Amino acid sequence: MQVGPISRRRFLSTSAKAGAALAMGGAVTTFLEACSATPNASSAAASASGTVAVEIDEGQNANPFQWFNPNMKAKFGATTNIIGLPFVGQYEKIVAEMVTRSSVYDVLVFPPQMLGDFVSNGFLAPLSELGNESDFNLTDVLPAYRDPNLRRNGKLYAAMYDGDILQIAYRTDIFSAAGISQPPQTWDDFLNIAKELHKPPTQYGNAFLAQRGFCYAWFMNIFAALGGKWFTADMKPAINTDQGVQALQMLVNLKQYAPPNILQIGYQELNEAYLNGSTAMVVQWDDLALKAEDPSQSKVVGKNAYAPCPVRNYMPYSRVMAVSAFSKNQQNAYKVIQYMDSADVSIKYVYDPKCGEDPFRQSHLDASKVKDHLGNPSMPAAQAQSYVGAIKTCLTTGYPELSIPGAPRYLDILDLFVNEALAGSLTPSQALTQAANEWDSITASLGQDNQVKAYSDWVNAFHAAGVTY
Amino acid sequence: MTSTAAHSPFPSGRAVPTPVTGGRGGLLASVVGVAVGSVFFLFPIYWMLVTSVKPPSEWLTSPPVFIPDRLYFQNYTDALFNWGGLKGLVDSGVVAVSATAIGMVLGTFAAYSLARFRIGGTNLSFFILSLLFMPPVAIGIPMFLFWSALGLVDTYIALIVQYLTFTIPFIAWVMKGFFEDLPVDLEESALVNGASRLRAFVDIVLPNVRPALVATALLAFIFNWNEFSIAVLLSRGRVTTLPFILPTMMESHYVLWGDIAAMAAVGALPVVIIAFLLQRYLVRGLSFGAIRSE
Amino acid sequence: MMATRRRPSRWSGGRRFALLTVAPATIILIVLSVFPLLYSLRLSFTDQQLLSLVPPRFVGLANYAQLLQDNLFWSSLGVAAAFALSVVTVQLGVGLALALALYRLPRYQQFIATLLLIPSILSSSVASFQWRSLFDYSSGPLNYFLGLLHLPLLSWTADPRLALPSLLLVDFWQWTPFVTLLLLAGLHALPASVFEAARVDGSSSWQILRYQTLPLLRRVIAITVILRLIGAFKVFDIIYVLTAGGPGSATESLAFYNYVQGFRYFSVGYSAAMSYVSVIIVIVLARVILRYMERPVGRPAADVPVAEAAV
Repeated sequence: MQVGPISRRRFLSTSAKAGAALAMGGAVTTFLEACSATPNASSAAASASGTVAVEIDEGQNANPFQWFNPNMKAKFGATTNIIGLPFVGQYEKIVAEMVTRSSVYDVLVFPPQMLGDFVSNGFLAPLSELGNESDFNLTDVLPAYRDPNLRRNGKLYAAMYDGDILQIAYRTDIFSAAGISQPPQTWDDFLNIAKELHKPPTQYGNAFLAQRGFCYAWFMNIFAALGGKWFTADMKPAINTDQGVQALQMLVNLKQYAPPNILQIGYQELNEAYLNGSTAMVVQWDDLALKAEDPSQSKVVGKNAYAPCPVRNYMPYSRVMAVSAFSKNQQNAYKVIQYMDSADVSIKYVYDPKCGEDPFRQSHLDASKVKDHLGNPSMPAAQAQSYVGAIKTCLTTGYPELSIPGAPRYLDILDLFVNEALAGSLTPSQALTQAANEWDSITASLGQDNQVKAYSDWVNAFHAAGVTY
Repeated sequence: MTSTAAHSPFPSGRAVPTPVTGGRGGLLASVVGVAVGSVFFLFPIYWMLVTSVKPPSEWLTSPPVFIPDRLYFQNYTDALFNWGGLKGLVDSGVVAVSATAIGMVLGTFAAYSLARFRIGGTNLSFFILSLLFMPPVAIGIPMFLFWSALGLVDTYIALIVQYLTFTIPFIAWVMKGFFEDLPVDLEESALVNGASRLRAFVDIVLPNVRPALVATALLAFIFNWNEFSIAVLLSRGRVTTLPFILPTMMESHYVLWGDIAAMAAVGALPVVIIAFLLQRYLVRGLSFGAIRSE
Repeated sequence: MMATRRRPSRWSGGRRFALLTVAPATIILIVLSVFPLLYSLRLSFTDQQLLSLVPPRFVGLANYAQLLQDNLFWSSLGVAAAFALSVVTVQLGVGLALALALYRLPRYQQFIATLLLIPSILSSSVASFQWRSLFDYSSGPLNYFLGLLHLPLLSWTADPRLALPSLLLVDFWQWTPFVTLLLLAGLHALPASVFEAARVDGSSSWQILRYQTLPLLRRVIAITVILRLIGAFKVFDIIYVLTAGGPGSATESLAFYNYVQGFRYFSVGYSAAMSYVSVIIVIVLARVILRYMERPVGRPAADVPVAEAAV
C-alpha cells in the first residue's frame, strides 16, 4: 500500500489550505461587511435604468404594478419588473439578500412589522432624502397608518400600498331571524351570539383564523379590546397578564362555536367558510367584503353587514413600499413609489377584487368610490355603505401591529404559543408565560437599551398620530 | 463471487422461488396486496393529473370532482407561460444535466481510485459517504455567504457547483461498489500489454460497467432535477428551477390548485418518462447503489 | 472475493493516477462542505445575530448549554426521533410485505415496480402540495372517502394528535415504493437453492422468512434503514408546505426548528450550534448502522458466502 498516511495527510492539508483561502476569505469578509453595513446613499447616482425591480409577495398583490406599467412608462419613462417572493418566507428572503448589500431589488414591498429591522440595519434609503415628503400627500393618509408605519427617527422611509384591518362580517338574514338587532359590542357579547347561532353541521356560530402563521392577530384583536399592550415601558412583555390570559381563553372558547376544522382555517379557508354561507359571522381582513358581494365567488351576496370589532380593531400586516439602500436605480424607484401611492392611482386598485389591496387614504373612504372603482359593480349600495362605514370606525379604533426591530420574531413566537393554546397542548396561561420568556430572550439578544428606545419611539409615534395605544 | 453487475436483478420468465408465502392463498394475498398498494400509491398521482385539467370552479368543491366534465388546459398554459414553467424546465434541465455530467466524470474517477487503490483508506470513503447525509440547513448560511461573496447568487454556476456536494458523493458511493465487483484481471492484462492506467480505465473498465453508469447517472439526474432546499437558498428570480417555482405559487390570498398541479405534472413528466424508458437500469441502480456500501 | 478485490501491492504504481483522479472531487467537496462546516463551527461559539446592532461576542459553549435548556429544541428533537422511528419501522414493514408480494408475481413485475416508484421520483415539494389538497377538510378526497364510509371527518394536519401521523402518511406514500424496490432487489439476489432446501425440510413459510430470508437480507435492510433514517431526520419540505411546524409545535422537527432559528430569526450562532448537534447525531447513527452491517453474520460459516452473494 503506497498511499501512505503521510502523503495522504499532506495532500489533504494542501487542498485544505486552498479551500480555506477560497471559502473563509470570501465569506468572512462579506459577513463582517454585512454586519457593519451602513446605508450607501451614494449609489443612487449610479446608472439609472428604465426598469425598476420591485420585490413583492407573489400573486395578486403584484398586479397593480403591472396594470400601471404603461402609464408609468408614459409619465417618467420607467417600468417595473416584479420579483415575486413566496408569501411565507418573504422576510427570510429579503433579509438574506439585503445583508449581502445586494442591489437586486430597487423597490421593496413589505409589511410594516419589518420596518424596524430594515431601518435599523440600514437596508432602506429615506424617501425624505431622495425627494420631498410633500410628494406623498401624507395628510390624506389615515393617521393610524401614517407615521408609525412609515417614519423612523424623523425620516420618511416608506409609503403606503395596502392598509389592513380586521373587521366583523356578519349575516343580516341569520341575525334578524334570531332576533339579534345589532353586531356584538363586547367580546362576551360576541361569544354569546356565536353560541346562539351555532347549529352544526349546517351553520356555525363564528370562524376565525386559527392556523399557524397569523392566529396571533386574532388573539391581539381581543387582547387589545381588554386594554392589553405589547410591552411595559421597560420592555417587559405585557402579554402574560390577566387580560392576556382572558383574551386567549376567549379565543379558545370561541373554538367551540366554530367549524370543526377550525385549526385548519387559514386566510383562504376563512373566506371560504363565510362565502359558502355556512358561518354566521367572522372576523377577517376588510377585503372579505369585496369578495362577499361578488356573485362569482360568494353565495351570500347582499345578505351581509360589516361592523367594527368590539372596542378595538387590530391592524395585522398591511404593505408599504420603500427604496432599497443598495439600489442602483433609486431615483426611478422613488418615482414608482410616489406614483403608486398617489391618491389618483391608488383609488383605482384598493377596491379592485382582482388584487388584495385595501384602502389607506381619507380620500378612499367614500362609499360612491367603492362602486365606481370596484371590478364587480354588483356590490349593493347598502353593503358599500356598511363596508366603508365600518372601515372608518375601525380605523379610529385601530390597534397597531408591532414594528420595532425584531418584530417579525416577536410575532412569530407569539403566534407559535397562541397556536399551542388553540391546539390544546398548553393552557392560555402556560402559553403566554412561555411566549413572554422567549420575548425576553429576543429583547436581550437585540440589546435591552436599543429595544426600550425603539419601543418608546414607536409608542410616541402613535400618540402623535392621535391613535390610542 | 461473480460479477452481480452483469445481470439483471429481475430474472423474468423463470419460476420464482417463494421465500415466504407458500401456496395459492399466499399468491392471492400477494395479488390483493399489490393491487391495494397500487391504488394507494397511484391515486395521488391521478389526483394531481385530474386537478391539473380542472377549471378553477372545480378546484375546491365539496364533494370533490374526480372526473371533470371537460378538460381545461388553461392551467398548463398558465403554468408554462404566466408562472415561468417553460423557463423552469430549461433552468432545471441546464442545472440537472450539467451537475450530473460533471458529477459523473469526477465521481466515477474518484470511485475507481477509492475502489482500486483504497486511497484515503476508509476515512476518505466514510467522509464522502457522510456528506450525503448532511442536512443542507447545516451549511446554509456559510454556503449563501460564500456564493454572494463571489457575486454568483442566482446563477447556473452556483447551483451546479453546489449540487456537486451531494451528486459526487452519491456517484462515488454507488460506482465504488460496481468497481469493487469488477475483477481486476481485465485491467491487469491491459497494463501488462503496455496500456497506460487512463487507457486501461477508459477502454477496458468503463465499457464493462456501462449499465451501472447509465443507472447511476439516471438517479443523479433525478436527485438534481428534484432538488429544493439548496435552490431555495441560492435562487432569486433569474435562475428558477421547477421545485423552486412551486412554493412561490402559494399566494397570500389564494392557492391556485390547478396551476400548481399543472406545474407539478410538467416537472414530473421528464423524470417519469426517463424512468420508464430506462426502467431496467433504474431498478438496478437503486438496488446496487444501496446494496453496496462501505 | 476479498482476495480478488483488494490487491494493493500490484497497484502501487497507480498512486499518481489515484491522486490525480480522486483530487478534483475531494477538493470540491472540501471547499463546499467542510469549510462551510468549519465556518459554522466557529459561528456556533459566538452569539452572532444577523440583524442585531449588538456586536457579536465569543461565548464559548454557551449556545450548546442553552440548547440543553431550550424546550423547543427538546420537543423538536422528540418530533424528529418519533418521525424517524415511525418512518423506518412502518416503511420497512410494509415495504417488505409489498416486496414479498411482488416477488410472487414475476409477470409485469418490473413494470409494476416502476409504476409504483413514481411517488419516490417526484420532488418532495410536489408531493407535499398534492397531499395538501388531498387533506383538505371540505373538498379533499380523503374526507370524502371517510364520509362515504360514515366515519367522522378528520382535520388531518390541523389536528394536534393527527398532524404528525399525517406527515408520516405523506412520507410513507413517497418513500415506501423506494423501500419496496430495494428489498425486492435484495430478494432477487438471494439464491433460490436456500429456500428450496428449506422447503424440503418442511419449514413453514414463516420459518423460512424468519430464519432464512431476513438474516440474508440483513445488509439490504441495514442500508434501507440508514437511507430512510437519515432522510426522515432531514425532513423539511413536507413540514414547510403542510404544517409550518404547527399546530403549535407539534410537527416542528429538529431540521425545521434549526431553519427557524437560522433563517427566520437569524440567530446564526445558535442555529450553527444546533446544526452541529444534528450533524453529529446523523454521523453517529450512520456509523453505528454501518458497523452493524459490516459485522459478519452471526450464523454458521456456510452462510457467509450466501450473504456475500447478496452484496
